[in-house]
Amino acid sequence: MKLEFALEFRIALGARMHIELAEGYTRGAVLIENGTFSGPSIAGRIVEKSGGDFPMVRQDGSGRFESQYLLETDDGANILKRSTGVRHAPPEVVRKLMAQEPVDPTSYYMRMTPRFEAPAGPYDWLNRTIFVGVGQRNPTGSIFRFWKVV
Amino acid sequence: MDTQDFTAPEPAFEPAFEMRIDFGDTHHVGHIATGGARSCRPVAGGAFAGEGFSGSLVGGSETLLHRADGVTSVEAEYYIAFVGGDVVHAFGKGYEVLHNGSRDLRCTLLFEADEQGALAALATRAFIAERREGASDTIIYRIV
Repeated sequence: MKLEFALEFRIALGARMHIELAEGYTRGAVLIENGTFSGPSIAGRIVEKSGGDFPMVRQDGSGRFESQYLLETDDGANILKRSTGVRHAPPEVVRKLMAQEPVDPTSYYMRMTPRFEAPAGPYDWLNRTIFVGVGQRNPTGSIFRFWKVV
Repeated sequence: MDTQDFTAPEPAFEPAFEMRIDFGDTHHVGHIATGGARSCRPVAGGAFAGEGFSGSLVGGSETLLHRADGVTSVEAEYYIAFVGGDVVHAFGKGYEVLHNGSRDLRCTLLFEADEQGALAALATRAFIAERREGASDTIIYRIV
């Protein structure tokens, strides 16, 4: 197995909402305002109001990601993207991430494993490929890069 | 593509564990209304080892959907009882697809473990599992 770069996403996030499920257990909800994606054989934008990130965040810094939103390629194909992931970070780094303050991207572990549903045709390789991603929070939003496992 | 402002580390794999799965008889649900043929391979036993840990598979399954597009999607779930008493839950999703003529299973794996237990660190990382066609072992790689 090896990794081959596939996609980069640049995303502007809306306000973060919180669901306090129990003390120390919070479901976050961050809707995506807009975004674009591009890679060697694909490019397009995120469909507005099509979804967001819904992380389960713990006080100790651990967290699990669940996200879902729709993509539209430059040639008009709609693709559903769903992702799960893991974050593990020191509490101070988590506090900064939650406050959308800049942090050193090497100071925490954050990996995503997205899945796609694409129409039959030039993008259907997405339907049978495992991906690994890393993310980075910038002052203006998030950048995600995904590699396919080949 | 402007990647000057992307400084997060590039991911990589490191082999972490090997898992031998003994499956029971496959259950065939048949062709389902949402598309494809559903089946399930129950875990009947097996062994898990790596990084100084070892254990036995005590439950789980690989639930398959043989999709209309020819791809088989897999939802995997394993319960592993480790020497020492900890029980860990591993779960993930992936595909059985042809790679160089071999129909291999590849899926993502996350772990759930007791936070105070010896295996707690497993839950802080993401993994990829691969089982080559005909191979007896599933290799689990940590995504670093």
